[in-house]
Amino acid sequence: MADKDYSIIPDKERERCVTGIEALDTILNGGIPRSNSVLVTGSCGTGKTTLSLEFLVHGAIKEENCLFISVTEDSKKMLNNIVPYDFFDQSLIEEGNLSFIDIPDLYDELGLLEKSEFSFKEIDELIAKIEKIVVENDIKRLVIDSVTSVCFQLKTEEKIRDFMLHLMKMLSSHGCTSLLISEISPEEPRYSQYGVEEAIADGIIMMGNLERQGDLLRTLQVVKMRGTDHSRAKYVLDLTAVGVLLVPLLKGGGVKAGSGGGKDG
Amino acid sequence: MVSVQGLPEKLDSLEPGSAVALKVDVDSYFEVITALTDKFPRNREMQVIYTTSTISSATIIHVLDAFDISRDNIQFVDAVSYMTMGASKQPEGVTFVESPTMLENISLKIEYLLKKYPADENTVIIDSIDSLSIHNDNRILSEFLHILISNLRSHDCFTFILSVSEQDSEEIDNMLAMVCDDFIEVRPENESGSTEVEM
Repeated sequence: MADKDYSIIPDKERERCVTGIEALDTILNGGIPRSNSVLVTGSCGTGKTTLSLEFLVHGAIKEENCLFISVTEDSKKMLNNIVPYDFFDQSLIEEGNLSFIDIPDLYDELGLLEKSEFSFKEIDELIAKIEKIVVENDIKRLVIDSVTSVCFQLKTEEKIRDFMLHLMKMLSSHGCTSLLISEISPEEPRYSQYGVEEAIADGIIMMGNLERQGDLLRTLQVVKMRGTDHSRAKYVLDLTAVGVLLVPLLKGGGVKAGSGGGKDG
Repeated sequence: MVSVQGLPEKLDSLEPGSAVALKVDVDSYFEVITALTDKFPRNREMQVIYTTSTISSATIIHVLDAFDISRDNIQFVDAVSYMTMGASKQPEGVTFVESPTMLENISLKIEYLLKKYPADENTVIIDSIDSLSIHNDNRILSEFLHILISNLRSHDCFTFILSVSEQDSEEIDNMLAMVCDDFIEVRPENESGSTEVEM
């Protein structure tokens, strides 16, 4: 049996993928540990896609090759979301640092477009296809928006686990840091639609809407991140032309659960 | 205690990063605003972020225009107009916050303006702590001030928190004393008095 390298790299020494979202990098003690696969989870309108796009744009500015795989929306429409950024430059796309792929195009190439449910073999083919793109283009940052929509066509927990495990392992083996967007309904008491994704992911960034006395605040909380110490506090965020901004959620001397002080959605 | 007339000189002696509570009587209110938005930043590369929860930004803009004060380097964070349905259009230089209860969003808008319009020096005015206290519990308000001032201090910003003498409250005074470096009572010109209270 070949010798495996089991040497432990201390958290502080792990190379970081600096997200470029200043406050998030502070929360994560310098950024996401390189090669981690992170689940960005939340209900609609919480800023998951915007945060993920900013992560890619900052990577592209650093001349890392970045890829956005769109499952639910046309990628051309996605472009409209990043153009308002003060720091976005069209040349990032023209020079190939930032690229977009619509997953139906991949399904089409693999003959999966009309399939309502994928087999294990087809899942492997899909991952192999993504791997080919990652390797050929030396992709260092990847976003899939959303993995929930991909998992919808896998149907069983076994297949979802197989897909998530192989996808994350493959991305990690190529030094690719990924944000995998997970959609949940506001009332969902867990971090992912199928319950499998959250257990496998290296990190979970939970985004939500907090209702406090009739005000609706967008929130962000890093629930888990392997390979780094991090804050687990809840922050309020704003989506602006200068990027995602975060400030600590005020507690006002402590809000008791169910006291009417706040409600997550 | 300092006179309105002596206020600009006092402001000029402040170090960057200072957080100052200014207790102002109603009669001196507009003169203090003039000192903060015109005399203090004059001849400096300074941006002023004026956060209002007392009267609408439109009213303050009207007053500044009447005094012929340039608004080129002034940005407003208006936390009152939405609530009073007075924010039907967004004039240049004004950013609205839906409600004075959304204290985090006030912080976020200030942070946004600091990033959007980088300047050599920045002044942030909170007008006023009394109006914010109408809408917020004092515990959350003191937490807000503590976090905001710590953040602004890290940016070397001057922070001025206005309170109105006529709405005197020991609790508010204690809160300001805890988070601010200086507590200055501004008296009208015709009143005699001693120097300001150092914290």
